[in-house]
Amino acid sequence: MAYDTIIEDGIDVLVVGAGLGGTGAAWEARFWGQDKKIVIAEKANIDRSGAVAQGLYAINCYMGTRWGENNPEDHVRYARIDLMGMVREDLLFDMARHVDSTVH
Amino acid sequence: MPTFVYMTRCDGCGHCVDICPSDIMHIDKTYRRAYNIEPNMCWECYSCVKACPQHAIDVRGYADFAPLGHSVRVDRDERKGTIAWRIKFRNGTEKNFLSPITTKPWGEAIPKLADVPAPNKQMRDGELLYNEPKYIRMDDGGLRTLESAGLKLKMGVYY
Repeated sequence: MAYDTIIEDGIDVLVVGAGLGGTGAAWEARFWGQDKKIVIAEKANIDRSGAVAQGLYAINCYMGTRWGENNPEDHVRYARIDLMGMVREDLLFDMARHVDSTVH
Repeated sequence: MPTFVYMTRCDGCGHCVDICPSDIMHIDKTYRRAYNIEPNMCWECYSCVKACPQHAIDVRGYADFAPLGHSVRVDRDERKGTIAWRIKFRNGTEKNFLSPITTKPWGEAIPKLADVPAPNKQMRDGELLYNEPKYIRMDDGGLRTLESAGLKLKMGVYY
């Protein structure tokens, strides 16, 4: 199989991967830096690819903070056990704070 | 629970080959039909099932908890913006689900973020993401912080 080499110059923000995280990061980057050149690099078919973008994790970690069901620290505990302790809790906590608003 | 292909329905168009995240849907060189080359690496993500124009791909259940006789079929229609699941149980029960995948015309209603008003200093100093609802919580509204939750960050790897 032959691959073309693509050279992109002058990129301000390079997002690696166009899954939920990558597209979300690029979306935010466009708003906070409207004049920046943003490139998303994705290896797979961008129509629909992978399982996470189909909402597996989004369903798993919706917390229902609005109804007092779970809080960000509950998500941190869940993910820490899930990944056998190998998590950056500060990053995870910060991400978990925004999880519910991706739904609302 | 890997995918398999109904050979009489498959026309070898290759949509499943393009869409498969694991690159395990291939076209058989002799029969010109798609097949799963590595069933144990299949994630059952249903990408190929949804992509197949001939509805030739199905997913086989695990024998231990999905006994023979069941079926899970899906039809994803981008023009109508719907996804329909039909689940047949072994005892004859049938469940049909119809859900929207988008409420706007497919591929047309793409917002132009570069044209919205630029964020001001107050927004830049704030903690909220773009267009994030301010009141995520019903009590005091703001984003939860370690301080407001009375928590401390523990360092290191632990359970």
